[in-house]
Amino acid sequence: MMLLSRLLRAAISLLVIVTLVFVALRATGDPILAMFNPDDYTKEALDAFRRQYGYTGTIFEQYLSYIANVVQGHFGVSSMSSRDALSVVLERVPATLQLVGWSALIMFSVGIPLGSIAALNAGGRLDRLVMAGSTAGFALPNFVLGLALILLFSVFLHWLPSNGSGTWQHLVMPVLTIGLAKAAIFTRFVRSAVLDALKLSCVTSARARGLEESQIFVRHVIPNAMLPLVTIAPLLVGAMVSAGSVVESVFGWPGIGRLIVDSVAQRDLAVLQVIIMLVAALMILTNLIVDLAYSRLDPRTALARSH
Amino acid sequence: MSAVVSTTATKKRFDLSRYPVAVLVSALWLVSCLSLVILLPILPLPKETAIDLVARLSPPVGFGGEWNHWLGTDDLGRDIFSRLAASLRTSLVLALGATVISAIIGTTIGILAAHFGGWVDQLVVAAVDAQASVPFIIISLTLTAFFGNNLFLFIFILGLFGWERFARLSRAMTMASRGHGYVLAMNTLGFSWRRIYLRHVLPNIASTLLVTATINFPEVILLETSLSFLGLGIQPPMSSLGNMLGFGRSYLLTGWWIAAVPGLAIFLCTLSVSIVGDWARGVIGRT
Repeated sequence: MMLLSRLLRAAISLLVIVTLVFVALRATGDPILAMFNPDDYTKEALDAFRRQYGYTGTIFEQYLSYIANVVQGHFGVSSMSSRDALSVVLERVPATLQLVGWSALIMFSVGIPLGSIAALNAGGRLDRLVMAGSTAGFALPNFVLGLALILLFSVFLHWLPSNGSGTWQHLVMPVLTIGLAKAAIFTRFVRSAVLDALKLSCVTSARARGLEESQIFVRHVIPNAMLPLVTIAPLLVGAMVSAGSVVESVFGWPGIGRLIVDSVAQRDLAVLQVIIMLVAALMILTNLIVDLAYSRLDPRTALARSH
Repeated sequence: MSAVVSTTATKKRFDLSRYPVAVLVSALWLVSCLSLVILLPILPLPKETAIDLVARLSPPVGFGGEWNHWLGTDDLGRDIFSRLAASLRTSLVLALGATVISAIIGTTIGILAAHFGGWVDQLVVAAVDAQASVPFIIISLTLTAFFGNNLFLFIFILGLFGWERFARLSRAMTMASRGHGYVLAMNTLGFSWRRIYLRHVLPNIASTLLVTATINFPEVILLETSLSFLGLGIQPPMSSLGNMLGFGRSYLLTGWWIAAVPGLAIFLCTLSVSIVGDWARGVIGRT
């Protein structure tokens, strides 16, 4: 029952996004001219496209045929490369997934230990050191960090290539840029989640039973701290998407993020609408998964909802 | 701890030792940035567009440069310090203006939602959730693509950023204040809601909104500099910290300082606003 209402809500959110894109496309003029470059086609060809894609008749009929086109994956032709917009976008996905995956790994492997150490030493010198680092990392814009890394590793040390993709050397700097920036935020979340978990009565009782501190941490603190951490996953996915658009441009990484910036600069609306829907779908899907995972991890929330 | 121990006699006097060093340094940096921006027209600096072809790509002092261009020059011999000051002015004015715009819009919407309740409230909450769930840089890039790139739209986009944060807070706090005695009393006495909200509720929630502004401000700077860095924000001949950095990126090999100077300036500005904001949040949270 809950699964169904969640799915319905996700579907409605998607429909809202598609509608907004349609409105924006209409507001800027003829959607056919946005999908096909008028310089490349004759007027007859454009009219034929208009009939083929269903952009004739009233605005409501056009809206319906727009949705039908979207469902079938017909987004038009990219004006940058004169190829199908959907495949232009999809071929960039693996590069971005690679970047985001490694960055997430860095984020977890830096954020979880540092956040836990800070929480276990709350108020101490280590805590203040970690929090100072986190504040600095949060204030450091990713393009500044990216350029600083290029300056250090490419210009002065000649260790890593500053631009492009293909080898693991190309991956190091973009992954460090995104991973460390997100680790700065994640450390704070881990710290406060662990701090909250330490206050739970199960931890006090475990201590009273004489369990070792390390065992208390593994058996009681970590499982309880996981719960709030799951909820910030959508936030971090969103942050990675937006960081990606800047960082991929800095390092010339051929992913979705750079494609967004290029398509905006070239006003390639056919490609842009695919990306918007992809990002929206990704965000909606992440939220859906988190909601479902949360009720699985904490049965109380599922119970509370069904009553 | 000294702040807690020292009581009545010293409490009123302005005492530097009551403030953490990091907060003092940050405040000092912000004050010097602001004074630089304000005093810019009367300072004896070379014009930021003045070209000095003899002194092209001259490095900063300490790296082989001269004092007449103490932060160095770019490929056309333009003084980096003058360009930095002009860019700082653009970035700070934009960020300040955008924060004021989003604070006014957000607070108004939040108070209205709390006042009317019902479907108005539902609509506002839905809009707040929607904006908070999509990365804002995607929204702003999309708006730029659809409606072209111009200064007016750019200010509008920056002003749109963060309104939901003010709306959420002012809505919650107004709802809470409606249960307070003074609001009930004034309402019973027949004062108009407009007067109650503007003269009584708003001053009560202002300190929290101000702290929210210190969270919003560095993020607007980051948004503006990111977009300008990507070439989609402020356009030449105007310069902001972001497009100065974007420009310097092409000269990393021959003149690293062209990028390093604005990069460092952005970092220090956002860092010091965060530090002062964190500290203010702590102080307000305690009282």
